[in-house]
Amino acid sequence: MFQLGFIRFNSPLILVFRNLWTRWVRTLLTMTGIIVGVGAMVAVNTTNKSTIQAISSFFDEAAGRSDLIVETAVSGETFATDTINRVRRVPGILAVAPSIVGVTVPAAEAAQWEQQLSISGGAVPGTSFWLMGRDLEADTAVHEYNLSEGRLPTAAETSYNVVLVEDYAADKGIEVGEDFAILTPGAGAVNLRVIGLIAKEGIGITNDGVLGIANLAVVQELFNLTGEVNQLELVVDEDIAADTDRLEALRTELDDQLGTSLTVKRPASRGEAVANSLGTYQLGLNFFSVVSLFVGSFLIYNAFAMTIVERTREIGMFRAIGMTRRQIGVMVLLEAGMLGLFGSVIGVGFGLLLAQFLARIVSSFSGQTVEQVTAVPTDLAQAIAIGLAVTIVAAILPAIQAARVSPLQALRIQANLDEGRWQETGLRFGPLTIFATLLILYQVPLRPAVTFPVGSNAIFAMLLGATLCIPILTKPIERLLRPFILLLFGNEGRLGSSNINRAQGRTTLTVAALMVGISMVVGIEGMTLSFETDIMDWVDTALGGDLFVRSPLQMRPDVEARLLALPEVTAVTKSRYIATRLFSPDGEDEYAIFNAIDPATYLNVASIRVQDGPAPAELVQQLATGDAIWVGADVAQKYNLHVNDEVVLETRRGRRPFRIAAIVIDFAGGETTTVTGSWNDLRRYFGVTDVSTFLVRLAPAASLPAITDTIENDIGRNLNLIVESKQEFEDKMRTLSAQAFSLFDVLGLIGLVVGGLGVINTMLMNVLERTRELGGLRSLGMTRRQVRRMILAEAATIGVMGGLFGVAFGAVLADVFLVGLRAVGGFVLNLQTPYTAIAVSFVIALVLALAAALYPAWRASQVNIIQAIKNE
Amino acid sequence: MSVLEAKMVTKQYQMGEVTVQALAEVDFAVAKGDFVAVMGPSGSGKSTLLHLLGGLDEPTSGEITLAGRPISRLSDDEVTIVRRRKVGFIFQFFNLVPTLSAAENVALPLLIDGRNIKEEQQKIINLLEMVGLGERADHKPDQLSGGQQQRVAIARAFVNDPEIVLADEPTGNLDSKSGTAVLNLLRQFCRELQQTIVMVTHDPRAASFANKVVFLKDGNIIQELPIAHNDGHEEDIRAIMRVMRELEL
Ligand SMILES: Nc1ncnc2c1ncn2[C@@H]1O[C@H](COP(=O)(O)OP(=O)(O)OP(=O)(O)O)[C@@H](O)[C@H]1O
Ligand SMILES: [Mg+2]
Repeated sequence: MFQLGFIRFNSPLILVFRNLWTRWVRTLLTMTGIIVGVGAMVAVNTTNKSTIQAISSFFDEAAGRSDLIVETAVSGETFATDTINRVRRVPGILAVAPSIVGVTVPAAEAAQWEQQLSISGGAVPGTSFWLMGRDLEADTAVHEYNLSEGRLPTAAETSYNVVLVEDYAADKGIEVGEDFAILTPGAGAVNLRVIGLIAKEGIGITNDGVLGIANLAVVQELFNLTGEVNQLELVVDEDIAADTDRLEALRTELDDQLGTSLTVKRPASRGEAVANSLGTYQLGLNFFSVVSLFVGSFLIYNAFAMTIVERTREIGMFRAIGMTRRQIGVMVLLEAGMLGLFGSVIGVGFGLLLAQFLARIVSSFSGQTVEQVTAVPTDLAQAIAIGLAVTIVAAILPAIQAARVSPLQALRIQANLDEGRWQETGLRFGPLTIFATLLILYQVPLRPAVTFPVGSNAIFAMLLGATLCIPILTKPIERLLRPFILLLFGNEGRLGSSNINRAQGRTTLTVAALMVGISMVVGIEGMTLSFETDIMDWVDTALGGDLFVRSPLQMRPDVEARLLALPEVTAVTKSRYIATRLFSPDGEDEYAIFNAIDPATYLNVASIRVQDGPAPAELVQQLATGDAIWVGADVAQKYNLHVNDEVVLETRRGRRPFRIAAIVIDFAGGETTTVTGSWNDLRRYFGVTDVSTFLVRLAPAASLPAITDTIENDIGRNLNLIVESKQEFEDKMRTLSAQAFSLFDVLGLIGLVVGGLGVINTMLMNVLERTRELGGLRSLGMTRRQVRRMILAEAATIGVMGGLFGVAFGAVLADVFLVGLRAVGGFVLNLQTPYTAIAVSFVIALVLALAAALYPAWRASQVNIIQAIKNE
Repeated sequence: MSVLEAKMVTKQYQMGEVTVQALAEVDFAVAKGDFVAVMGPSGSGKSTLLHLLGGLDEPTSGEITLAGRPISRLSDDEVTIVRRRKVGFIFQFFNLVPTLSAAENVALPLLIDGRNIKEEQQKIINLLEMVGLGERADHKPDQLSGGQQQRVAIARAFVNDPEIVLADEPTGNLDSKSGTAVLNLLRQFCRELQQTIVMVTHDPRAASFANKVVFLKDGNIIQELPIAHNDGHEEDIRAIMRVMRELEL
């Protein structure tokens, strides 16, 4: 019996499937575009969310069973213990656990201590040792201590007994029963007896486990804070805790009762401030991930347009035997849909892998360890939907092109598809689009809320505009390049390089894909370089000073006189950072840092770069008068502040209004809002007189190592002074910014990969399409080697063009990024030309194009002469 | 009764300033069950005529009626449906879909028409057996010889029971043995199944398989010659060659 199962299809879908399957190289290439695009999007999204998740779960875990927390409004300050009784009397409060933290360093490490910065402007957790004093009786209701060895201090303990976190103790080689010395403000180094170890979980994760827990009274004594606490953790009646509204009502009630100097928070909300400080950064990453998807869509379009060219005869035949235009179009779109779906699903997987890697980078500089990368299923579904949609949209034009194929094409020996009028369209719309987007970006004042969406869309429009400009310029550029190509590749080079004029659309999109990849790298490098240069410039001129003198503990102001007494020191000024809250006229309020400077000496050491306001001398005078601050341009932008506006700051004496005396160029706080006021106001309103940093100016001939030694070991013997040179500080800043921007580098790299894939696709297509011609050339006596050289020459021309366009567009992009940084983050930067990046990118473009063409060139050289000329 | 009728059909191509007259007011009709060969020198308009008859292209003026439908006045979608259901094409370069098997290629027109292929399986097997490829149903085009590929294309052309099958140089790309096989097949379809065929060819021997030869020159039909099929092909071929000499073709 004759086998009846030979027809395996019953719908046009089979045509689609067979096509994808048989032309698997193309399928794979197209899919890679989708995978990389969707992957970048998922990776960035997941990393961002996981970071936020890690931050909030960190605060959750450390909070134990507490539902509410009482802290000073100016965070990190202390308040009197009698508040405990006031809180206890409030109905619904079941337990109150007080605590106090003494920030210090182990005595053994005092000399090596270094201030670590994080991108959010705060200190990196684990840099200092936290000695936490707790009421261990009250604690039973709030925290569970997972004791692995020894015992906990009792509530009545008066000896200097401490419990350490297991991992930390192991790291330092400390065992139960041994002594552990820390620095204290009053008594210098003090020995604590280690009586137990707890696991690094729950409260043990605080400060990354660099933590000791002692009885409350002991810590109060050691840090001269008798009768003071930092924080109260409250456990609330279960019914109230379970009901968000009632909990919030209780929180507000307590908050009102305790006055403005104290605030009552939910534990989770403490994480929000940290998360917010990463906002601009995450926005930037999101933008780049979308760019990757955009470049991916170029590749998809290119691949589809090419399959249409390749299948013109076949499509013509379909039309001849009765397929309608609609059916043809639907078939192409179905193919796109299928590829889009598969590609997006794989892209999600790739994205999750990439996220693991990105999360590690984020952990390295954000001060927040992101251990677990968690993805939200709806986000992944959304990513797949977006990937699918982008693929289908990218295939619409090719689908229309396919539907337009005349049935007569089936009868031609050499099918030729009308490539469209690229050059004409380019001339008409290219420069216009670029001009219009530049106008929008630079001339139209945008409200902050729409800046990011409008700005990023304008950049996309500009990308399109630049793409449209490519076909106008390929011919003249090719002509200019020809001598070089001839030099490199000989006569085969001439053949190869002129080939790029044959399929204009294809050349255009390949150059465009390369352009986007290169321009991303150049743009990112331009932005990074500008950022670094301006920060260094600021460190140099504004921050001033040759040395920074710090201490793990705050310093007494009289150190200033002792520093000044040194012959090599010509000037000294002091500054103190303190946490506060800022309330802007627009009603926003956020965590901020009040940086107090000494108006009398500040200009002796540092300078000020005023953007708007009086001259520096006058400005410090105004600060000396009091109730005035200056803010950085970033802060002014963020809160829409102008000179003479008033903002309110939370102080120990309640909320006080401060006048904005000037807007200056200032990078002091990183992404954390920083305001600068006077030493007097610090004393008056915050009741603080100790010093965070002394800025020291040295005589020109002073020897750095000698003076460092004098300060650290003579003056600083008992004060634990640490000297950091400006050079060291600069290096630290440079490393930090390099780390922060390394994520963008990854995304730039992705852009390059997509560009490379575009070249492979195009060259392979060119080879397949010209099999017959290649066979002809071979039969005329062209060697395999010559064929390879010809193909490589073609790729080299495309590579150089991609490099040229990429560098040109990248320069524009870098400038646009700076405008964006100013609009979104408020950083005012001057554009620096990244010459190295430009040169390297250019070489990368060329090498990438050549590498991508290796396989197609090999395929071309393998063409079988007989088959090629027989090949219909 | 004619299946296909062309009246006063003119086709002009505009090549910049120059107008090329490919067909000049041609009248042409094909009766049901007829097998017509179209001959003429290169550039005489043979392919153009065939394209117009099959609705692949539109005439500059004149009217074409196929199976009672005025295809020169229909929309593109309507003409496409006519092609799909009433016309079969055989191309010089076979034009099989390389990703589909022989059987699948044959089934393609039905597939496009949204028909249930399961119900048509027997027909496809029969057709493949008729063209002598019953054993090759599962083969891909690149696993078939040129002659075999063209026979698959013939099966495909007849699968939708067309009113007319149009073939442009179906043997132009084949050796003489494969060519003869293809021509015999066409003849067989015409005789046994009363199929109507119009075939363009250069080759007097190929034309001798038809019932009638139409001669084109400079876009005009200048002569028609019925084929007797009395004394075998040789006689008919001589008759065709004689006309060609007379007409200086
Ligand atoms: N698309 C076109 N554009 C311009 N002129 C055309 C086009 N197609 C055909 N012609 C012209 O029309 C005339 C008839 O062409 P056609 O292809 O019908 O000739 P033919 O008889 O099939 O020739 P051959 O035997 O070489 O295939 C020729 O002069 C040809 O140059
Ligand atoms: Mg012809």
